[in-house]
Order: sequence, then C-alpha cells, then structure tokens
Amino acid sequence: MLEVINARKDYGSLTAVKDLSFTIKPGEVFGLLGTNGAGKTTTFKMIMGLIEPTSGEVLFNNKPITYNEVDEIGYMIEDRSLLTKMVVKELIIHYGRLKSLEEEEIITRMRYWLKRFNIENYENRKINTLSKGNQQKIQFITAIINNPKLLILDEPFAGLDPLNTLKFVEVIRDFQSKGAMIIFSTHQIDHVESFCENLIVLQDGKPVIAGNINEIRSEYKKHNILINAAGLEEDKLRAISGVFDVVKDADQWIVKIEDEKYHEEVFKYVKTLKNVIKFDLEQARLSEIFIDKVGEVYE
Amino acid sequence: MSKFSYLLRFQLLKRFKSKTFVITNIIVFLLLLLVANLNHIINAFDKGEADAYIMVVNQTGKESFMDDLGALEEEYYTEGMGRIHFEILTDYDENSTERNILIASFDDDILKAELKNSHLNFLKQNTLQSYLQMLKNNYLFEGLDKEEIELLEKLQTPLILIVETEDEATTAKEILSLFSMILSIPMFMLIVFSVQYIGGSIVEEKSSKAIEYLIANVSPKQHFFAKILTSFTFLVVQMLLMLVYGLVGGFLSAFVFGKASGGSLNQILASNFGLDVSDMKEILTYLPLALFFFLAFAGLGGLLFMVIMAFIAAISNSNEDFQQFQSPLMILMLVGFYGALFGTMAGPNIVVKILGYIPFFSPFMAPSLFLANIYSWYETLISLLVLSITTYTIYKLIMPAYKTAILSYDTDKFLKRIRKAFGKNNNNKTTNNK
Repeated sequence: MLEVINARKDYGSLTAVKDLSFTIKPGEVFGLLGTNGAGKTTTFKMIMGLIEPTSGEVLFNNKPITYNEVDEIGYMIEDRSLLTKMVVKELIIHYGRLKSLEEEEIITRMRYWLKRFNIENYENRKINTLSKGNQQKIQFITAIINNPKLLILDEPFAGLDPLNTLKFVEVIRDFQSKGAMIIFSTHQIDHVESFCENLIVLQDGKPVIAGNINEIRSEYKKHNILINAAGLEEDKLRAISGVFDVVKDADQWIVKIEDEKYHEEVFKYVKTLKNVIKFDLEQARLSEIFIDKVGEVYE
Repeated sequence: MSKFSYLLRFQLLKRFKSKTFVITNIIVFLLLLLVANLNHIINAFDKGEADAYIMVVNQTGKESFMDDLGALEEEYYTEGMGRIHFEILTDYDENSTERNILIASFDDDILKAELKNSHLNFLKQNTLQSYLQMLKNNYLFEGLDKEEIELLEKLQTPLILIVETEDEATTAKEILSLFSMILSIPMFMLIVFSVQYIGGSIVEEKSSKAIEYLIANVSPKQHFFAKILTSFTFLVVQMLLMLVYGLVGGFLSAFVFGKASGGSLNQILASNFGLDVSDMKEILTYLPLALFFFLAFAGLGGLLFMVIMAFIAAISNSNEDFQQFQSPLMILMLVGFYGALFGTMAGPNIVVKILGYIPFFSPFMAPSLFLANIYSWYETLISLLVLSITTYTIYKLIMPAYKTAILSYDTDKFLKRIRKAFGKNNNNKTTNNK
C-alpha cells in the first residue's frame, strides 16, 4: 500500500504541494490531475524520494521509501529520460541492472515487451534514431522491466497515437490485474475516467477534488442532457429554469442543468418537438467537473 | 553484485571499450616508440654526411703542408661525419669558379689561409679552422726548444679559472630538468581528459534527464563515487599504460635497435642515450622518487579537479552551460601547467616556489620543480600534503551540494546556482543500498 500523508513541499517562499494525502491499495489505478505547475511531478518525486517533503511522509507498505524498496517500484519520468547515444538493448539492460535484475532475465523480459509493442526489430538501434513515440515505448519498458509492485507514470501517454495509447492502457490494466499499484498523471482526462477508481485534482499544490470517481461524479449536482431533435430552439431551452448552458455538439445539443431534478422541465419542452431521436440524461463529465473546480480548461 | 559495483563496472567498460580509448592508445604507443627510438630512426635514414673536397693552393713553400693537413684529418676524423679530402691545385687562376679553394701562405712566418668559393657547411668549416690553427702553432713552434714551447703554452693559460660548485647543474640534472618538461605535457593532457570525461558524462545524464532514473535507483553519493572512481581508475590505468609503452620503447631502443648486449642497467642506458655512466647513475637514483611524485600529484590533483568538475557538471543543465561554467577551472589548470613549464626555466624563484604550494597549481608544478631541483624532497612532500588536505576538504564541502545540484534544473546564474546548491540539501533517501 502507498500512503501519502499530509505531504508538503516548499521551495523557499513557493509552496509546490500542500496538505496532500491519499492512499493507493494493491490493484488500484490512481489518477493525479492538475494544470501545469500544479504539483504533480513534485508529488511523484516525493514518492520516489528524489526530493524530501518539507513536512508529512510517504510510506510504501508502511515503511518510508529507501533505496532498498526502489527495486519494487517502476518510474516513468515526464520528460524522456533516456541516454540517447545508447543502443535500445544496452539501455534497457543498464536500467534493468539498476533494478538489481540479472542480465539474462532482463533480455528475456525486454524481448517480450519489444514484441508486445511491435518494436522487436529496434533492439540494436540507437535510441536517438527512434521516433518520439518509440522512445516513449522504450521508456515505458524501462519502467516496467522489473515487474513493479508500484508503478509511477508521469504523463505516460504524451506523444502517443491512439493505437499505442491503447497498448499502454492494456499493459497498465495487466499490471493492475496482477495487483500492482499504479499512479499516473495525464493530460488525456478520458483515460482517468476510463480506468481510474480514485483520483486527486491538484491546483497550486492543493487538492481541490479527491476521492472515488463515481462518488465525485454522483456528488456533483450538475448534469447534462443530450438531445437530438428537429426544430429545437436554443433560446427556449435557455429560458427553462435550472438550465445554465446550451452547447451545440455535432448533430446534438448538450443542455447543462444545475441539478438532476430540472431534467423534467427540459423533457416537457422536448416532447413538444417532432422527430425526437435522442434524449439522454448523464452525469457531468470529469473534464466539466475539473473546469468547474479548477476554473480553467484541463490542458 | 551491488548497484555501485555494477555502475562502476558499467562505466569502466564504457570508457575502456570506447573507440576513442583504443585509438588514443594506439597513437600514444606508436608516438612513444617513435620518441624512444628517434636516434635509431634518424641513423637508419642518415646516409652520413657527404665528404668535402678542398683544392689547396700551396703558397707556403712547405712541401709537407699537404701531408700535414692529411695527417690531421686522419687523426681527428669522426665516424659518420664525412671526410675532408685535400687535393693540390697547381694551376690556380684567381677567376676560377672551382669550389672550396684554400690558398695557404706564410705572412711573416705565420701561417695564413684564405678559403674561396666556400661550399663547406658550418661543421666542416670549424674542422678546417681547427686544423689550420693547429698547423699554425706547430709551424710557429718549429725550431723552438722545449722550455720556450712550455713558456708559450703557459701564456695561453686562462687568467681566471671557473670552478664548478656542487650545486652547479650537472649533465644529469639538466637532463632531469628537461625530463620534467617532457613529463608535464602528457600529465596535463591526461588530467584534462579525465576531468573533461567526468564532466561530460554527468552532463550527458543530466541534460537527457536520465539522471532522475539513475538517482531514483542509486544514491547521489554512489553515483558521484562511481563517476570519480571511473575517471580516477582511467587516469591511473592510462598513466601506467604510458609508462609501459615508454618501457617497451626503451627496451626496443636499447636491446633490439641499440648495441646493448650486457652490463649493468646504467651502462646499457648510458651507452644507448650517449651519456656518462655516472650521469645515468645519478638520473636513475633520482628518477624513482620523481616518478612517485609525478604519479602522486597526478592522482591527487586529478581527484581534486574531478570532484570540482563533477559539481560543475551537476549544476549545469546542458552542454552549453557546462562549457561555460568549466572555463575558470580549465584556466586554473592551464596556469598550473604553464607554471610547470616556465617555473623550471625561471629557476629557484620565490614566486615560483609559492605557486608550487597552491593546490590548484601544485599538481603540475610541484613534481616539475622537484625534478628541476628547485624543490627539495621535503618541500615537494609538504606541497603534496597541502594538496591532500585541500582535496579532502573540497570533497567534504561539495558532496552534500552535489546531491542537491544533480537533481536541480534551476536556470539561475552560475553563482546563484552554487549558492542554492550549498544552501539546501533535498535528498535524504536512505543510502543503505544492497
């Protein structure tokens, strides 16, 4: 279990992280969100012991993380942290040896992962000759080569196309099913919704949203109604009590209501229309909750 | 194998397996062979100096003049120098364009000679001068009795006799002094290469952000030591290799290409280098201590510069930063190097002596000053002690700051980064690694 307890990090007069607490259990995928400079990377560095919290503590299986525990942790850094003059095989062996693995074992695992990511032909290629996406794959492999019990992924999907993003997600799910704890940050908020159970949203180092995603969404009063009907008039929708925004999205309208209870008023109006194809009430999206709480678009 | 041992092994293999190392060593080996066997190589290509022909117009009236010249040439001829052949020219024409015409005559019983259309080189001209001077004296002394000759010889005795003191530079000391200059150059280059390597290696890891992965798995202290030990081992191995190359070159020069076949080491080396046995003995007595000082100063000095360079690399975010920040240290090293070169020429000067104690200059200067007989052994030892204490103190000061600097990507100015690095120490992860 990973526990971050009241962690705080100050850089002089600047507070990068403040009163941060969360727990990740085995088999759990945890999302850490926030705008640029919100304190996500600082949090990861505190977990990895690269920087010491000004106050609070980080416990891994009830113990502070020392160099004795790092072999059980996989860490993927936001910026590519590869020695680009090295050959793929050399680099993975080098990083694997720093996880106390034997060379033969590293080679076996490396070949498995290279094949799984469809880059088995790049084993003897220099890193700096690879595309950004493939470099990202190599970096991901170095983070998982030791079959970590705790996997820390700082922006793992940055620079990946949708197909490769899907491959990463599959691998993350595999580790989750094996009981690994996974914490990651991402700019692609859809991923957080699709496979995170718990999350924290940081703003200026402080958690503004925290907890189980379903609970967060259900506690959030605002809802969306998706409507596809002929002859719909935006002004009439806006005039309905409880409606605070109406957005045209492709062939449908998204009507944003203050509370679930206002959907009946909207439905009454829609019933007056001809040819109604869609009327769907859904919880607010995570990105909307994020914008609402943080006050800016998640980017 | 612990992570530290692995890291050390990895970096050493990377260093010693690199093409640069192999190519550099092949070049250095060949160069040292060349230098050690330069005399043999020159001799192999030297066909000897060409003989010189002098046409003699004998106006002295002495029939023996030609024989006398020939006899002197026979007596003083040196192997490999080219002979001087004297041929009589009977029908001399003043307008003759013939080369090397020597017109000899007597002027008031004193031999007088004139060389026309000379094409003799400097050495041959000197030889001819000395032959004629000897003949001039011989002819003057003809008919004098023994006492008169002795009196004339006494008149030629110099009025002031310069007596050499014990401190006066002997041939051996001059050679040792020369040796100090020769040794300073490879020593400087080796230290610079090692120091540059450690800096470049750290900057490569830091600028690529690989350092975060590394420090997440090995402590900054282990990372620092692995870098220092790799560079230090490289420095020592390279110095020993150069010593071996030199010995191989010397062996080939003495036993394969040279004439040495037996006798003591002194005799073999003396004959090979064309020195007196006593001079060679003096050199060989002095050389082991001098070599010890050179190795000790190179090792400790290298360590001092490596520690500082590792820190400079740690506060650099990119190669551009590093190139800029390392300049002051490189200048200090250059001052030490030039101090070693010119200090030995300047002699026992107080400024030179003081500079030789300053740790940033002493690695290059002190052993050279010892070889040049400017420092005594105990002065050199004091300089070595000062260097050791300074190196240890600087390491103790820099180590905690290195931990902070290596993970910091501050973009402040150089001095501010240093202040920040010394002002805080963020990394406290337990270092009880396996």
